[in-house]
Amino acid sequence: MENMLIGLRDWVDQRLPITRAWNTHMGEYYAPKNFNFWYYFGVFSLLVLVNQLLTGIWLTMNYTPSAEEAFASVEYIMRDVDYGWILRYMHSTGASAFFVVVYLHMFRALIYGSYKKPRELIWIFGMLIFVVLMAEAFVGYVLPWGQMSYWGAQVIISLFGAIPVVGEDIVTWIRGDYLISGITLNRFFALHVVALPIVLLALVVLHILALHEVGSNNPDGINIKDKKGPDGIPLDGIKFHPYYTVHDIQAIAVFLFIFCGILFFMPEMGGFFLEYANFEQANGLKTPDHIAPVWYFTPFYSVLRAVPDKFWGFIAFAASVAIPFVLPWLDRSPVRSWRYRGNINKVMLVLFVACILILGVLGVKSPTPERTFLAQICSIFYFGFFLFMPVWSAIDKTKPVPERVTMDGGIGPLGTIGGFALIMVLTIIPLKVVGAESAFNCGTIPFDECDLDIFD
Amino acid sequence: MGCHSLKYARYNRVADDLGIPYDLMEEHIIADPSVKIGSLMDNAMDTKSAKNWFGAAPPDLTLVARSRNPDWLYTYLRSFYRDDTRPYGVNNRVYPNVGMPHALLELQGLLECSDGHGDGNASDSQGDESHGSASELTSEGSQTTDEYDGTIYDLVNFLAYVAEPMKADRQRIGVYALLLIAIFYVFASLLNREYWKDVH
Repeated sequence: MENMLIGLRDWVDQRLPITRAWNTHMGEYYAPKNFNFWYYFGVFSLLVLVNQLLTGIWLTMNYTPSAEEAFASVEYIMRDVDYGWILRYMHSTGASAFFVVVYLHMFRALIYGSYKKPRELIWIFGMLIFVVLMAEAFVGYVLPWGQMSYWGAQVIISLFGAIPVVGEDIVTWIRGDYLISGITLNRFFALHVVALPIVLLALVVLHILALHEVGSNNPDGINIKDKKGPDGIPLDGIKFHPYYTVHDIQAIAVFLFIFCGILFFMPEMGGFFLEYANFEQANGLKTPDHIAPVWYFTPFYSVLRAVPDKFWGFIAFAASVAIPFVLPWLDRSPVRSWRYRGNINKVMLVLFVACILILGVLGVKSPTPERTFLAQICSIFYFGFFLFMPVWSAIDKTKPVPERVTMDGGIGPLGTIGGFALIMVLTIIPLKVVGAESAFNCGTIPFDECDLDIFD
Repeated sequence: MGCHSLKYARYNRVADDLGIPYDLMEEHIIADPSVKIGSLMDNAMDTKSAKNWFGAAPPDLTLVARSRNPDWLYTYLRSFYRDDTRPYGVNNRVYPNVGMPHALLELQGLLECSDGHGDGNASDSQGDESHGSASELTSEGSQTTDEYDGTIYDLVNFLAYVAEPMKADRQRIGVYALLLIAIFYVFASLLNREYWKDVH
C-alpha cells in the first residue's frame, strides 16, 4: 500500500512538480521564527475566504436572484432549508470577519514596514485584493434584497453620477436600468458568485507567490536571508511546515471560538453585521430615514461626506481608497519596523488609526455640523499622513537595528494593551465632544423593556 | 390570515415548534379550508383594497421583530391613544399617524392623553411628560392593564419567535460548537508546544 502511494507520487512528480511546490511553499519555506500575534491575520484571511467560498456555493443552491423572489428565498434558506440558517449566518458573519482580519493584516504591514522594498508587489497585490473585496462585499450586500441592500446600493451607485458629462450614463450602465431593479440584482449576482471570486482567488495566489519569492518580513523588519548558515538556510528561519502550521492551528481555534460565539449568539452583532432595516424587503417607494453603509465602508464614506461638493467628495472618496497603493514609495525611513523608528512615527501611527476609527464611527451616523467638522479634520489627517510621509518618515530618528531577530516580543502584551487603550481614548474623546458617542440615536419615546423567553 | 400575513413562515412549522396539534391548528388558525397545513401563512386580504382602507397595506409581520425590535413592538402595541383627527379615531405614541386601527381596543380600552390634545408628535417627546405615563384609560377594556400587558408580552414573544424560529436551536447548537472548539484548542496547543519546544 505504502509503496503504491510512493509510486503514485513519483509518477505524478515526473509529470507535475508537486513535491517541489510543497517544498517551496510549505515544507522548506523558511519563515522568521519571531512571528507574533499580528502574523495570524494572513492565515485567518485565507480561512475566511474558504468559508465564504464554501458557504457561498451552498447558499447559491437555494437562492433565487430575482427582485420578486430574492428576499423570500433568503427566508426560505433561513427556515426551510435544513441548517440553511447556519450557512447564511456563516456567510454574513464571515463577510464582516473578512474585513476585520484584512484591516488588522494591513495594520501589521504598516507597523512592521512589510510593504517596503523588496515587498512592494506584495503590498500592491494586497491592496488590489482589498479593493476587489470591497466590490465583492458591495454587490453581495444587494443580494438579500432588503431595504438597506436597495438604498445602500442606490446611494453608492449614484456617487458615480457626480462625474461630469458621462456620470449619469455610467450610473445607468452600472444599474442596467433607470433605477435599481431586478436587472441590477441579476448582474450583481453574476459578479458576486462568478467574476469577482475568480479575480479575488487569482490575486490571492499572486500575493502568496510574491511573498514566497522574497520571503516574509518580521517584527524586527530585518532580512533573515542575510544571515545564512553553512547549509544555506537562514539562521533565524524555521520551516513553515510543521512549525507555523501547528502554530496557526492553535490560533485558528481561538479565532473560530470568537467567530462561532458571534455566529451562534449574536449573528446581527447589534445591527452592524446584519442591519436591522435589511429584514424588511426592498421597497423603491419608501426611503428609510437613515441610510448607513455596512461598517467596513464607513471610514471611506465619511471622507466622501466630509467634502461639501458632490464631485470633489467622490474624488476624495476614490483617492482615500487609492492612496495607500503608493505607500511603499512614500516611506523614506531607512528601517522597516516601528520598533527601530523614532517618536514621530509612533505618534503618526497612533493618530492615523484613531482617525480611521473616528471616520468609521461617524460614517454610520447622520451628519451634524459638528460631526462633519470632525470628519473633515480626520480626513485631512488621513491624507496628510500619506502625503507628508516622505518628509516625516525621513526626518524621524532611528535606532540601530539588531543583526538577528529578537525574541523578547517588542513592547509586550502590556505595551500592546496600553497602545490600544491610548488609541481608544484618542478615538472616543473627539467623538464625545461632537456628540456622537452612541451607536444609534433613537428619536422616539423610551421603550418599555420586555425580556423575552425563547423557550416559552 | 386577516390583516397581516406571516408569509415567510409555514403553519405546520409553527404548529410543530409550539406544540399545537395539527387538527387544532386547522380548526382555529387556518381560516380557508383550501389552504394546506404546509402552506405559507399568507394574507386573505388583497393588497389593493387594503391600501384603500388603511392608506398603506398592512406590512407582513414575519420579520417585524427583527426589523424593529421586541421592545419597540411591546411599547407600540400598548401606546394607542384617542385622536379624533385620525380616520380610525386613534393615534400612536411610538409610530405617529400610523394607519393601523387599535385592533386590540376591546381588550385594552382606550387611552387618552391627560392634557387633552393628542397631537401625535412623539418624535420630540423624550422627556415630554404629556406623552409619558400621564395618559389614562377613559373607557375600560375587557382586560385590566396588567392582563393586557401580559397579552401583549405573549404576542411579542410569538412575533420574536416567528422572526427567527431557529433561535433556540441556534443557541443550543452554539454551546456544543464552542465546547468542541475549546477541546480542540487544548489539543492544538499541546501539539504546538511539542513542536516549538526546540525552537529558541
